[in-house]
Amino acid sequence: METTLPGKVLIVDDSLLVRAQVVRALTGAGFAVVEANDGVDGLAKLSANPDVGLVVCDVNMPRMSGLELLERTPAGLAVLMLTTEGHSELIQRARALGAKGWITKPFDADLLVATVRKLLG
Amino acid sequence: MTDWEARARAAERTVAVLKRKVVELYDGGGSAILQTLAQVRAREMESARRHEELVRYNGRLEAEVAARTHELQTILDNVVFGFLVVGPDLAIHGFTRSCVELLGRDGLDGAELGDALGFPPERRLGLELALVQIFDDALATDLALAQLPREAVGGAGRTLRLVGRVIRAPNNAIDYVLITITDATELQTAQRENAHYQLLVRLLRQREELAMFVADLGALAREARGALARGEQLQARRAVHTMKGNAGCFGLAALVALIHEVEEAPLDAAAIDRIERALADFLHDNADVLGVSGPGEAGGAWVSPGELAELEAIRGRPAAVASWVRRARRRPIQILLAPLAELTRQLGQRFDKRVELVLEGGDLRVDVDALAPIARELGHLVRNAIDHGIEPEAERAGKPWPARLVLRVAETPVGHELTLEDDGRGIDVDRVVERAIALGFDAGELATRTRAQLLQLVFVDGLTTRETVTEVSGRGVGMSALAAAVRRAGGEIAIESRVGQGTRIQLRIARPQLERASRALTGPRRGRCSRRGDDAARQGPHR
Repeated sequence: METTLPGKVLIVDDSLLVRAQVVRALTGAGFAVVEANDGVDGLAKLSANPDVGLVVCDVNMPRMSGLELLERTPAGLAVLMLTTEGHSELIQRARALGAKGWITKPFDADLLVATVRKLLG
Repeated sequence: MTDWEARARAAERTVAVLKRKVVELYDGGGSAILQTLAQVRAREMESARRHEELVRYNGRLEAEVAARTHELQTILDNVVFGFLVVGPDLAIHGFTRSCVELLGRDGLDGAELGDALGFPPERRLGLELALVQIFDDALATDLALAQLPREAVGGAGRTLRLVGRVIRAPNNAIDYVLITITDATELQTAQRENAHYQLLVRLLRQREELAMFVADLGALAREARGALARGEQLQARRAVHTMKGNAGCFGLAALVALIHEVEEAPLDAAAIDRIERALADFLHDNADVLGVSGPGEAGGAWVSPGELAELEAIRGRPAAVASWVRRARRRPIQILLAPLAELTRQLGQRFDKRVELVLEGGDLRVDVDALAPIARELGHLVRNAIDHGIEPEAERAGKPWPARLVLRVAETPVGHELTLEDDGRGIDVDRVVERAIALGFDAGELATRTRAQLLQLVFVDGLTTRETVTEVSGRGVGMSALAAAVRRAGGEIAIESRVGQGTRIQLRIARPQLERASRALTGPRRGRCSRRGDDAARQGPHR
């Protein structure tokens, strides 16, 4: 039965375009999505939405970066980092901080959906 | 700047250019106008000539397209693959032998993949993170695999394409990552070449506008230099920025990239020089197609309306366009073969033989650069034919006099055929075998060869059926030099001879796989051409 929602996803990115892409891909697959435009906003949305099961998070953002947000997210909450090519050291730090994984932009929407399903499942 | 403002400025600029032209014409008086008219007439004549040529070429278009398609298929058929297996320790646990050649290095067993691929530290870290993520198996497998680097530079500068797959154990855990390495050098060159052809087609369709753009870029460069001289950096930047926008309109991506780079730093006169030089170089390199040779020069009407119409029709098909452009770049093979007529005349005089050299297909257009090394050696064939093949008049019972030497050039789907046919005495195979045995060939082995294979012996270094060496021929090196040139070009030689009737020698030269562009590459060719060359060498008597 498909009555229960598969899970809630928080997308944190200062790019409206990237957020729109992620929202379209995930809501199309039946996920509830919450948006935030930087780390500070992300933390606020997290406390307002305790049912978030996965955070998809940009690395470079104003006010609070993805790495700082990652440090403040509750342990056990899955975080998937969005990066651009050539930021291996940031990825390495994100891994050390417990990120579940990372993908480079631009990404394939279907594969993102498949990944979110796997991480929430 | 708003849209209407930009438009108004563009219109102003156009008006300014037109005004300048009118003033130039007026200043020049009647003579300038007459001169312009004469130029127009000359262009029309050139157009008519081009059109005639086009009609002739049209018939060959189909063959060209077939050849091009064949070439691309050949590349695909001959792509070299290699497979590497990487374990969770990120080291190589197995590899196919082809990887050694592709990567240009030995000692792959146990090496780290990043090392084997010759990655610099930053890329190596990226690769390691991607592999670790794959083995973590947290993401969708295909998304994790998509984070692997897709390209690497292999041995001899090859472009390698990398694709990853996972190998899972019965318990579904990932045991290994299988990396498939493909040599994409030739395909990449073909793609780049097609993009270049498409750019040329676009430019050809708007040649008039391109000429104006070139003139305008010159004017903007002057404007920018003037502004820099006055210390007005902003004015200069504006002019340069307009150049970039205009270059973008024509799809001149390399020029756009250059201007973009120039804009990163404060402008100086050297930067403006660079931009102008880049455009001039591009126009110069493609002047034979575009006919726009440099700033301030509008160029002649190189392309006829018929040719343009043909281009329009094939615009969407890169293979056909590539063939069109290639054709436009070619020159008649006659340029290369003309000296042979004079050689024939001289040799005829020397040996007191009347010989007529008939050239068939001399107007065929070819890549002159590619065929020149072979054409250079054709003199040996002509010498042999006149010295050895064609009998003195007294021995030519019932045969025509002057003797006929026919050099035929033809285009085939895969390249060119050059055939030299004489109506002389033919080659005495028994005598060739005798000489070969004298040179140390195994008589028993020779006995197993076909007649055609035995005839190939004439291309062996040092083999001649002549007892005496003249200064013209008889040393047995000419034919081997020709054979070597043909082999180098990836071609083959067929020889047929009938005693008393004559000899026919046919050179089949496969078209260079990617023509001009591939010559700039450092990687070796592994297409059909070199294969055929190798085969020809293998059939040779050295083995």
